[in-house]
Amino acid sequence: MKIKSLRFSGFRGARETVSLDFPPGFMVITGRNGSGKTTVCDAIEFSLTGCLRGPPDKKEKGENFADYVWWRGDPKADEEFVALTLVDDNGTQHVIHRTPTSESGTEVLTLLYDGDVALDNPVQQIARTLLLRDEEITRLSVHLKETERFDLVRAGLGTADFTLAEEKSREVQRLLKKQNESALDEYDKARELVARQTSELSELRSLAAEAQDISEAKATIRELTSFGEGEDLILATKEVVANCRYKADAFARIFRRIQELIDRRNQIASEEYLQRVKALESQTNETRGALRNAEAKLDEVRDAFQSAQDLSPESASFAMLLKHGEGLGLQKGACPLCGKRLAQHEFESHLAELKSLLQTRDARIQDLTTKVAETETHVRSLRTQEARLIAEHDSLTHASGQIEDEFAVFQQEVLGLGTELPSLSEQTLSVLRERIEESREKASRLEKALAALEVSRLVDKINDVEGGLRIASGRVELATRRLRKLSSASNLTKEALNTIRRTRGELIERRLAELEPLMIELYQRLRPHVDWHEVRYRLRGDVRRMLSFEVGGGLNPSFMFSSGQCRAAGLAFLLALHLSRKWCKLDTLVLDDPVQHIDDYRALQLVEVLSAIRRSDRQVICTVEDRSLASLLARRLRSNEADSGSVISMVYSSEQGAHVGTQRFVQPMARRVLVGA
Amino acid sequence: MNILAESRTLLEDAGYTTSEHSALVPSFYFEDTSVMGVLYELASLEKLFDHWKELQDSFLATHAQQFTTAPSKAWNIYSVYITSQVADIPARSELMAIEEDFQSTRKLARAAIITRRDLDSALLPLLPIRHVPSLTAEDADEELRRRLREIEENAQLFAAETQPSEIVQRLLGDA
Repeated sequence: MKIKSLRFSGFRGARETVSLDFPPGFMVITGRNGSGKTTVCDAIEFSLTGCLRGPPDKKEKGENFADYVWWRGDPKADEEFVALTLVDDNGTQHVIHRTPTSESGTEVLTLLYDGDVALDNPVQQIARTLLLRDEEITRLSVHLKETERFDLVRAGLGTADFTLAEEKSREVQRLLKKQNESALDEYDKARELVARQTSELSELRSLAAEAQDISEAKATIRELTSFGEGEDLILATKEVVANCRYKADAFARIFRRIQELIDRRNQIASEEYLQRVKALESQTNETRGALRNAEAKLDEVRDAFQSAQDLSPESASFAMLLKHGEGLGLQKGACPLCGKRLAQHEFESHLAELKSLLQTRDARIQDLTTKVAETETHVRSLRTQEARLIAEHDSLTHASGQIEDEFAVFQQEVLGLGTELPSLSEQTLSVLRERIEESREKASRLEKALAALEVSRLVDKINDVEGGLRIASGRVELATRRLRKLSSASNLTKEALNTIRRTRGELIERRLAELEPLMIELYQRLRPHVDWHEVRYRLRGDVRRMLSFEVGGGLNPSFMFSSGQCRAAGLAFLLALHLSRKWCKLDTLVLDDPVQHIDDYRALQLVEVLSAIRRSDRQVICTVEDRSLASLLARRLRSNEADSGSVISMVYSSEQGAHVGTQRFVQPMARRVLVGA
Repeated sequence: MNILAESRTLLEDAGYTTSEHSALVPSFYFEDTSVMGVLYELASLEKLFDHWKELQDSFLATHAQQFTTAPSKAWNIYSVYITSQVADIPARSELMAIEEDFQSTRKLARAAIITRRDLDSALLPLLPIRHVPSLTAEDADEELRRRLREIEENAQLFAAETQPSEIVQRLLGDA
């Protein structure tokens, strides 16, 4: 497959349509700076890839190289397109047509790429190894980083890169890591559970060791209660224990009270008590006597008072008469009151006597009133005293009965507790003491039995915890096993990943070994250095592969060579890559101004190399600025009847932009001049 | 090694036609569709340095008439001077100076031509690409699978169609 023709318009430096017909042998494109030589190369690259390799990452005022793919000058271009026609060995033509917004025609990959070889972005690889640009010759070769150079060689040689296998390994590593985290979490949880249950089990076993025999406990409960099988012994026994404790407390309280009753009864029977009763009877009798006297006296005083009160209206009348008589005075010698004839002095004496009588009467009433009140107070006092004495006496005399009554109440209460009290006596106290002891002992024994029964529950609990511990230990074992498997899988994946990388490295190494003679040959042909006639490559790194060049026994040309020498060495490397890519069906080599910074001698070497390349029927397209070099290329690139060549010169005008100035077909040379002519 | 005979064979194998050249110095002519020239074998470096220009001029003068009939091809004349004597550093520089002299013919001046390989290197500018890589066919995937199998049977899953999640299951024995 070769390039047949190229047409482009409104593209890069060309405003109007540029049309180029490529001979099958070669085309040398010459012209001054800015005449459009590189635009031709750009058009070829853009046709194939749909983009251009510009200055990397360069951006100014928000624009980059991609914004200048299409014509930006004034006036605007009438058309914007790039059309590349390829012709295969059978003469069939294939057109790739692109505009700023569309792509049509033949699918580049289908056309040019041998799909049996695995490549990353094959279209880009085709463009990168097809077209060697001036500015990229050293950048992509000598000055390339070792790892990138390795990748370039790998891609250029079309060696399988196992990207899919590597990505798969990485994804598996990621998944395993995730699972490992989960397994570690499970392992930690299970271990924590084991530790917790072990601790709990240890504690339960200690408790169980201190407990009595369970069957003995059950026998005790059966002996002390009426419980049979099937009942919740612990709950029922706890009730009995509470009842025993209650009874013991009740008996103890009643015991104390009965003790008090007995004390009181003993007190009643004492001499002192009897004397007190007698004294009270005597005091009561005395008080009663005094009370009767006082009541008699009161009657007497009240009678006298009543009598005095009875005279009171008469005294009032006398007082009025007296007052009236005094007012009237003697009436004709006679008393106005009684008519009796009296002398004045008699009359006055009479009035005075009357007045004295009235005053005596008033004083008596007053005196009697006081006496009545005093006597009544005395009587009340005596009555109160009498009542108190009677009450106290009654209390003393009835105490015995009260004691009996209270005892009867306790008897009833104790009867409710299932015990009879015979009488208020020491015997009763003895009975109560027995009951207290019995209840307390029963409660105590039942409590012990209960504790034993609780232990039986402890045993159940121990069984439960032991079961849980077994499960937790199983979880730990499972998690450990899982972690072991994950570790093993992770190691295997890591080893697989390394194997993938190593295998890839070894394959490329093999490829490189196959490529090395060509690289050395091209280096020798281009002769970058007068003494160092050979270049060697050196691969380093097991997994991360690096490719370096060496000349003169271990010297690095990128630090030793001048820019021209680097370019020559780089050309050897890139041409070797170009010639070795069997996966590309396009037999065309495009060089964009490859001789910059190269002296005439090495330019001549390059021309001879291109001539040698042309011998294998490869199409060569080369741009150069120098006209004499263009002529040299035209003579040496071996134009013949089958694979002719041409030389075109590009020119630039403001109106058209870049366009073809002249085109000259290179005639085949005379076959026999020196030998056999 | 018979330098002359080997050189002729080499160039003929590369598509050149050669012919005897009667001269004081052992030599022969060669020509193909775009290049022609003469190859001299010189006994020593001294002779080479002393006679190369004389030999070139004599050759051009002898065939001047023929060259005028093919002016374009006449630009592609090579004069090749070869000696088996090993050159020291000054001599190497002198040889380089001869090659960098672009007057009249393209000159190849090489010393220490002892083996066929040396000859091959010396005549490279006239020869087609010598070491076109004949990259061996490889089944990279099978190679990778084989390597992975050596680790463990399951490892080859990485080179198969198996999905990562399925690989994980297989590696862990969950599948």
